[in-house]
Amino acid sequence: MFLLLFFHLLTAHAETVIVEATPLEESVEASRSVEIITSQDLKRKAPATVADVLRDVPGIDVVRQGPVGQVTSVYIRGARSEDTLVLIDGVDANDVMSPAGGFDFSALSAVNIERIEVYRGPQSVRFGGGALGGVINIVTKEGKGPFTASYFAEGGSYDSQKAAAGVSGRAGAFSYSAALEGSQTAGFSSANKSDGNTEPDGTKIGSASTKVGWHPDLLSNVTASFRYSDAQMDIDRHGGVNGDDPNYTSHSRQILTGVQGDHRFLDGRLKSTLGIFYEEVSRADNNYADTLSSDTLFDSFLSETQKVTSDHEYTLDDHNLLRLNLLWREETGGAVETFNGATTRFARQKQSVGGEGLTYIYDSEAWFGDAGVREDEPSITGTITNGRAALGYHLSTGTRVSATYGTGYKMPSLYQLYSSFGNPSLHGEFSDTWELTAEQHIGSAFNMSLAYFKNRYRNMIDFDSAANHFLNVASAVADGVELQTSAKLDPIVIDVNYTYLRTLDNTTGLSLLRRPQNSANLNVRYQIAKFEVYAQAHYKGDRADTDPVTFSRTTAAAYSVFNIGASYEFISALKFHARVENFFGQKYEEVAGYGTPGLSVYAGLSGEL
Amino acid sequence: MNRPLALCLLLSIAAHLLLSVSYGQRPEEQVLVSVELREQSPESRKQTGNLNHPGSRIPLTASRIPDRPLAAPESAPVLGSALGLATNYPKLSRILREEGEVLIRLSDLAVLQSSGHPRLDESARASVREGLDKGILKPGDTQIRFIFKLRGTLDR
Repeated sequence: MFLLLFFHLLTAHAETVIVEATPLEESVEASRSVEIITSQDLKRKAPATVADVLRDVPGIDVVRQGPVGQVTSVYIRGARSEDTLVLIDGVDANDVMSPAGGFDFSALSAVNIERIEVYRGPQSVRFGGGALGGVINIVTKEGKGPFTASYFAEGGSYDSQKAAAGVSGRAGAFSYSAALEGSQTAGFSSANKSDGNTEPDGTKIGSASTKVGWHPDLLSNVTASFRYSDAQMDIDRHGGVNGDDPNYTSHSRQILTGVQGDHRFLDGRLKSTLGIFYEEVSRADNNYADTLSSDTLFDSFLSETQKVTSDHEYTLDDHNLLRLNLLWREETGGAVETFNGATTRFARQKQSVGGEGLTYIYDSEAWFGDAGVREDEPSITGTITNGRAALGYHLSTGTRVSATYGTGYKMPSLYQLYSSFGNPSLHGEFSDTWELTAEQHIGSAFNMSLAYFKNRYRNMIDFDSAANHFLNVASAVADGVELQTSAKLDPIVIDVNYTYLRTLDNTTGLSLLRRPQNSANLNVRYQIAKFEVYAQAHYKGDRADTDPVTFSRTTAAAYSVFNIGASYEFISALKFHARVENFFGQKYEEVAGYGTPGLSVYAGLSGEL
Repeated sequence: MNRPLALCLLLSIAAHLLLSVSYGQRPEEQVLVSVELREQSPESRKQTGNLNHPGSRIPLTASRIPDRPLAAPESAPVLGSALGLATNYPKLSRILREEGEVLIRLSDLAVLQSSGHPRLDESARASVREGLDKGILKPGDTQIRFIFKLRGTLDR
C-alpha cells in the first residue's frame, strides 16, 4: 500500500477530460422560416400524396380539383400556387410549359421520401428565380445501413389501390435506394356531382425513383438521382353544371435526374458542390366529341429544364460561414394544340438565366442571422438583384426571436412570353417579405411559435383582355399570422396551428381567390408500444372564388374535415394501417364547382425486411 | 455586376466584426464535457514517453484536488460543467466526425500528443488556457488529456 502511494506521487500525473458531442449534419439556417417534414411523419400518416402532408402545415393551402390525381395546387402564404418553386433532389420540378410555370402536385406520392422542407415567403437569394412565394424542397431517401427491402400496399374507397416496393442500403462506400410504385383509383366526378355530374374521373399513376451515392470518405460525396413518373387521368372540361366530360383525358410524364458531387477542401473548411440537373415534362390532352359536348381538343406540351449549380461554403469558425451560390439554368418548351380542327403551334422557345449569390451566416448560442445578395442575368431582361437579411436572438428563457427581410423574383413563363396570347416584352415579377417570429420552448414537451409576415408582390403578370395578351400589371399584398403549438404529453402528442391570412389585389381592391382568411389544423396522436392512433381536423374559413360557369365572384363556404387513423406494428416486416377520411361525410368544395371525397376508408399493410 | 458582390463582402466582414464583439462565449447545449479522473493508460504512456509510472489503475482521490467535487471511479465520469471547464467540440469536427486524444502540457500549452486534427488540438489548448486563466486548473497538474468522442453512430 505504502509502495503504491510512493509510486503515485512520482507520477507526472495527467488528468483526463472527455469531450463528448453528437455528430452534426449540415443543416438549414436557423433564421429561415422552414418547416421540416421527416420520413417518420410520412410513415406515420401514410398519406396518399405529398400534397396531403402539406395540408397540416400552417401558412399553406392545398386545393385539389376533385379526386386524387386531379390538378393539385399549393399556395404558400397567400402567393399564387405557381409562385411555389418545387425542387426534388435539387432538380427544378415545375412544369415550365404550364401557363404560369407551376407544379402540379397531383402525381407526387409520399413514397421513398426522406424529408420535405417548406420555405415560406420569397427565397430568391438562396434558390434563384421562381422562389417568389416560397419553396418546397423534397429530398428522396438515401441508402443507409444494411440492405433493407420495404413494401406498402393499400386499398380503399373509390376503388383505389396502391402498391409500392423498394430497396435501400449501403455497401462499403456506396449507398443505394430504389422504389417502384403504382396506384389507381376510379375516383368520382371532378366536376361536382351536386351540379349533376355523374361520370367518375379516375387516375393511374406509376413512378420509379432511385438514388445511388459514392462516399469514399467523409470529405467527398457523389450522388446521382433519377425519378420517373407517369400519370393518366380522366378530367372534366370545367367545374359546376355541365362540366362533366366522359372522354376527356390527360397524360403526363416527368423525368427528373441529377448528379451532385461535393468535396471539402482546405482542411474541410471549404465545401464545394457541383450539380448538374435535368428535367423533362411531356403532357398531352385528348378530348373527342361526345354526347355532352361536340368540342374536340388534342394538345401536347414538351419542356426541358437544364441546370448547373456550383455552391461553395466556407466555414470561418464555429459561428461564421460564407456561402457562394452560382447557378445557370435554361428552359426550353414547345406545344401544339388542335381545338375543333384548328391547329396552333407553339414553336420551341427557350430562356436562360445565370446568376450568383453570396450569403454570410452567423450562428451562435445567443445571436444568429444572415445577410445575402444575389444577382441574376436572365436572357430576356437586364440584371435582377435580390437581397436578404435576418437577425435573431436566443433568450435565456427558452425564447427565440427573429426578424427577416427577403426578396424574390420569377421570370415570365414561356407560355406568357411566346404563346398566341404571349408578350415577348414581359419582364420579371417581384416580391418581398417582412417576417417576425417568436418561438418559446417550455421544457422538451411544449413549444409554441408565432410568426407575422407581410409579403408584397409587384409587376405580376396578368392577362389583359383589352390588349389580348399578358402584361406586368398586377400587384398584391398578403399579410398574416401563423400560430403553432405542440405538446408532447407522452403517450399523447398534440399539434395545433392556426393561420390568419389577409390578401389584397391592389387592382381590384378585393381579396385573392381561394385564400381563406382563417384556417386551422389539429393533430392528436396517441401511441402505446406498437399501437398508434391519430385524429386530425382541417378547418378552412370562408374564401372568395369564381363560379366556374358564370365566372362571377362567389364566396365558398367554410368547412371542417375530420380524419382518423390507426396502425399496429406486429413485427417490423408487418404493419397494419387504416384510416377514415372525412369521417363525418362533410360536403364541401375546395374549388367552386369541383367535388371532394365523402367518407372514405383505406387500409393496408407495410413493412421492412 | 461585381460591385454589389464586393459591397456584400464588405458588409459581411463588417457584420462579422460587429457580431464577434457582441458575442459572449456560452457553453454549447449539445456538448457534454465530462471529466474522468484517472491514471494514464499504458498505451498513452507509451505514446508520451512517460514510463516512470508502474501502476496504471490507481484512482485519484478527492483529497488530491481539494477544490473539486469528489472524484468518481473511472466508470462514472464527473460532469465537466461541475468542474467549470468548457471545452468546445468544433462544429466542423462534428460534421467531419473528427475524434481523438490530445495531451496538453500546462506549463507552456504545448501539444504533447496530437489528435491528428488541428481543430481539436486547438480547442483543447484554448480550453486549458481558459482553465488556467480562471484558476480552474493549477500549474501543479502538469498535463491534461482530452478525449474528443462523438456519441451515436457514424452512419451517414
